[in-house]
Amino acid sequence: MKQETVVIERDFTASIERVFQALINPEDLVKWHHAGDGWQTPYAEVDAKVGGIIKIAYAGPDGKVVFDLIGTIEALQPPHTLSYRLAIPGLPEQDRIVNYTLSATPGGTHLRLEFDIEHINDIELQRKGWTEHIINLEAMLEILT
Amino acid sequence: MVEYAADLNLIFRAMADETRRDILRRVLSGEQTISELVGNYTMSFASVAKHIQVLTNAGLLYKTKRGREQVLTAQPDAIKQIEQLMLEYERVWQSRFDALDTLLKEES
Repeated sequence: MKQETVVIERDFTASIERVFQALINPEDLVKWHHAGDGWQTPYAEVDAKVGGIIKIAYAGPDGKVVFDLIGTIEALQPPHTLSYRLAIPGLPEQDRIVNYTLSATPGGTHLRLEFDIEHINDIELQRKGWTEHIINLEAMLEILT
Repeated sequence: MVEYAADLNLIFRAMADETRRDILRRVLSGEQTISELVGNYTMSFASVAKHIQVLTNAGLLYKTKRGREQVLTAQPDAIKQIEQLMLEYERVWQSRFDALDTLLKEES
């Protein structure tokens, strides 16, 4: 099936180094990588190298893990690029790429997130979920920096 | 007059949420670090962070850096604005009672 992608872009006031750190540092990931209010991230693990695994837990409000997002890092160029290929156990349509590109701006950092969609959930639902992730990232960066 | 002309709409919107009122109450009773504050809630860090953003944007809280920690402090001037508004309402109300009082005295 042909891959379709969705692009989400956002500007942050935090430095490019800080935003990149938030993408790969487990201590940061547990603070923002949720698909919206009510979701939680009890743990995250990152082996930050090409071929390394990125694992991020998705849990409901009760803290019970619903699934682990697992990806294999395909590109890692701090502080500009992070790209991983998703392989989520138990879910169909593996082999989807999530790609973050950061660029420094006069006001901070521009983030571009591009991801391959799956064909089970509505595309707008997927866009909404990932947009929530990015809004959470922004809230975390603003509160902590 | 208070020094900060904070936007009352922002203040009331910020206050129209139970979690945010709870955050404000905790910070009013003593400044809090972000991690102390987040530890009080079962919701995710990002959810608490978004509530804090709404409160800081309304001018009810402000954030300062102490070493590696961010510390939240309440901004009493913004709270005074609410108090002043309530006092104005109370004065209007009170003047009605006074008028009623006068009327009743005249009639008796």
